[in-house]
Amino acid sequence: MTENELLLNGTIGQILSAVKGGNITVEGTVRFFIERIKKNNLNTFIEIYEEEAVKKAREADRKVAAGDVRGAFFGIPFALKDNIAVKGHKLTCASNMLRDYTATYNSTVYEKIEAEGGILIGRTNMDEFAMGSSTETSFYGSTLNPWDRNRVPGGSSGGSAAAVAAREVVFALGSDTGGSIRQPAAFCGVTGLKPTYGRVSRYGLVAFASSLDQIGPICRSAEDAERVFSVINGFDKKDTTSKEVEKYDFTDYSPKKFKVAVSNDLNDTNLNPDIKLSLSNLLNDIKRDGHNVEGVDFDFSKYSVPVYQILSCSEASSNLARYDGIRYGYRTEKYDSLFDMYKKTRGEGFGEEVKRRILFGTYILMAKNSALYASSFKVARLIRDKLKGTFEKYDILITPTTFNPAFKFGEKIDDPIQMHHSDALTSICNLSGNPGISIPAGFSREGLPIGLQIITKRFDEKTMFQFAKYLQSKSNWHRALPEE
Amino acid sequence: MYKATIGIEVHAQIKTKTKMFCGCKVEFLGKSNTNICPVCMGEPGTLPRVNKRAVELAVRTAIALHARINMRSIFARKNYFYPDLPKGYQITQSIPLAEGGYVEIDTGNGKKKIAITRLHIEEDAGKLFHTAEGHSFVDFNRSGVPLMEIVSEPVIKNEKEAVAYLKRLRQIVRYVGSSDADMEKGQFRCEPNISVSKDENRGTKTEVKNLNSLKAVERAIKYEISRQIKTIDRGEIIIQQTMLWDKKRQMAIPMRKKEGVNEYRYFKEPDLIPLILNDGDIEKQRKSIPELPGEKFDRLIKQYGIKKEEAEILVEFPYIASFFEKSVESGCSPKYAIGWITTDILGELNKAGKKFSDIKTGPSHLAALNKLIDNKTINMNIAKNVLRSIIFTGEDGNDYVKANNLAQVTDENAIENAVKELIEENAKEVERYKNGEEKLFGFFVGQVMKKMRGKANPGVVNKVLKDILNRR
Repeated sequence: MTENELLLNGTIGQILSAVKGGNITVEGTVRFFIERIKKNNLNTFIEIYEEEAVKKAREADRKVAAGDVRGAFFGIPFALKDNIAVKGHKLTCASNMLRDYTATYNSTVYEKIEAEGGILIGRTNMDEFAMGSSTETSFYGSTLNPWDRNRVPGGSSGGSAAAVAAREVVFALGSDTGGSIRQPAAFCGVTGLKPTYGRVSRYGLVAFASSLDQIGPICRSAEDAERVFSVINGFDKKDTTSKEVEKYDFTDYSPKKFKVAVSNDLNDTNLNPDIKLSLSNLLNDIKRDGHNVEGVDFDFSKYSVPVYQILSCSEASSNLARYDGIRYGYRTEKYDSLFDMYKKTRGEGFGEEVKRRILFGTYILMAKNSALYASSFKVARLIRDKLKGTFEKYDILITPTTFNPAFKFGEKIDDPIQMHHSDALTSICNLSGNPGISIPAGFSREGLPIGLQIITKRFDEKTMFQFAKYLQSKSNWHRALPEE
Repeated sequence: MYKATIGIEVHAQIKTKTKMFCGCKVEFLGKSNTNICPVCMGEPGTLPRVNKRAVELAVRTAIALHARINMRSIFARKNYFYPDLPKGYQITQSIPLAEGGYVEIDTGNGKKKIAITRLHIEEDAGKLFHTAEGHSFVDFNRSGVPLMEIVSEPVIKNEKEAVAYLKRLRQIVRYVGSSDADMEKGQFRCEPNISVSKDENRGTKTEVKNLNSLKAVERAIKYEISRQIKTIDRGEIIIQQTMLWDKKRQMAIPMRKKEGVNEYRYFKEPDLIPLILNDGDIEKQRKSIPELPGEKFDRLIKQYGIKKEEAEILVEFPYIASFFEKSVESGCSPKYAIGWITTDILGELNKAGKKFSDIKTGPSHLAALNKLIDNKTINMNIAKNVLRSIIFTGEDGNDYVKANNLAQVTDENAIENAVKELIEENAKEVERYKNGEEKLFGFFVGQVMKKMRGKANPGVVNKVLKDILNRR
């Protein structure tokens, strides 16, 4: 493998070995990716920390020279979605509201990756406050899909997914509230994991909907995603919703026979025929390998979107109340009373989609609508119970990640209902707490990536990674690169 | 005839070193915005974590209130906008830590149990300051300080009961160590709601805030009851509203309405898991509960035969109770001890403007004085004088008596001489006495005592005086 090939398609493990062996320098690696960000010009990053990253790279190279190489991500360039706090760096959530806000503390995930020697090269673009499915709601403009610059990269972690797809970084973190990691991963042809709720500390993740948000990796392969997940997972006393379960460790792939359930969303008439074809072919392959594959009857996707909207917007309306112009962030210039200041600050500081969701959530939480909120909880509970039942019989549940491949800019931005429907298949996992991963599973006729979603029972990321690694051991979709 | 119905909400600051949901120090009057961190400032991405100590102290309080503790309680958000509220919501509880329970009070006319509705944990807000120039500043040191909200049922009938309830409740939280409950420091904030009615239906209630002392609570309730009655008698209706007590004008004034205060959009706090307790947690707290004020009150009266008012003083000030009980243990009679403490010691402290901890005499001093009385070395009046003289010096009572030559004279000859002198000097009065004006006897006793500088044994004086007068 040439250095170029290694940096473009190597795994974290391979790049790490090359760094350790002195075959490549960290500074060279960092510069390689930063140059690509600039050259590609996909608007993947809101800010590149060039100076800081190069400085850290040089320190790392000195350590290599001194034989002092430690950490699972030693010298590996990575990026964070701009809703994950790094002390001293801006934390904007791609919003006018926070465009001048600098984080005063570190997120737990950043500290964990930093401790393993990862080199942060910047913060990536996203939908404002992670609300959106296309990065079109970003205050900093849309990110372009590297496979087709006329199309959206998905969202809300569109910057992270596009950056990994365009090989502008080795891996990136995103956040997933209703599909914000998996949907852009599918649109950009990369691997994106939403861990079990409670697996990864949310401390330092700017909250959208606290009971649904999880941080997860977006990577070139399931193997890399597992490496990153094995570093960032674990109980954190700063996040009491993180679960005190045994810390996840990377496990090598060992072939076994899986019991696979396939959701009947695959037969949904709304499903893009290319996606249907790709996934059907894949399922036939799986059957041929001797795995047990059976269809299961779900109608989750009918209910998941409204329930997801009700719960996520309710929490968001409260979580975003802190942006009031008092202590930090944007404040309007002219106002004649306290409440006038609040109204103008929030009116001017937030974008359309964010305001729409805050208004909706505020309405839902009003005492007179409490029944709607309560029944949404019940439906979420039912989804969780149904999935639990499924995993008593099966190891794996397969669904398409999305009904359609990446859409064009402007296609859905004025139609919130259509846009919200992008979450139909992914938000199931957020409502139930189950982990879900999207892996590349082919291309549409137009050459757009297709994503397959693998769901397992809660806290069983192990089976998920085993299955994803099995699929990636016999396919090359995850290695395909967009034309430059 | 109008009947008043009163319920009271109390916010007691839980006595912890750190805040409810972060590690910041809890400090009264610290320099503004020094005890703050990203969590209590509501910085983006921060999360609350529960202060275990605060929960323990709240559990302890709930036990002392005989409340039913919920093994699973739920935190919730109360949403509203205000500059002193960094997150735009206050974390409180929807399923409270405890429900039910009561506080027993002595109404002066028998005992009464004031029922408690619930006790829950929540966080305090910051503080706003407004300058004369029209600027406003916020101090977030108080933001996130742990509070217990204790809500009574509307079963209180008048201001006297209200004060008795609050006094007993304040004693309880102090006894169990869950709050210092200093009203002036805002550690025990009382918000009574009051309604009046002529029949069984409850009238429209008003709530009164800004009460910084029990005196203020008493006056505000009295004021509000009378205002409501007058309002209804004028044929007007009571408006449901929150009033602010104006200490200067001694009246309750309707509070200016805040925008949108009625829709708090409560919902379960998704950043915190349910608060789960187990039997062990509760047992541990139960064991740490001392004798409670109500129990102490009953026991003191029963054990020492002291009066209710005296027992009330001892219950309110446990260190005085301890001083009292140690005095009795050292051999002082309860009757002497309670009298000396509540009138002489407290009186002297009051005069000198000093605290109980300033006194140098200990329980053994009281026992020693008692002994001097018993062996007739001094009488009660001298004893009181001695006590008042040695309070701040701690001098030994015996030594003081000797040094000042205060020992009682029991020598009959000396007393006889004084009596004879008296009779010679007051021939007219003796004549009147002999003619049946017996009340002059007291005058004679006083005169003899005066002649003997108070040191004569009153019993001997009586005996000698009677003997001599009768002989004449």
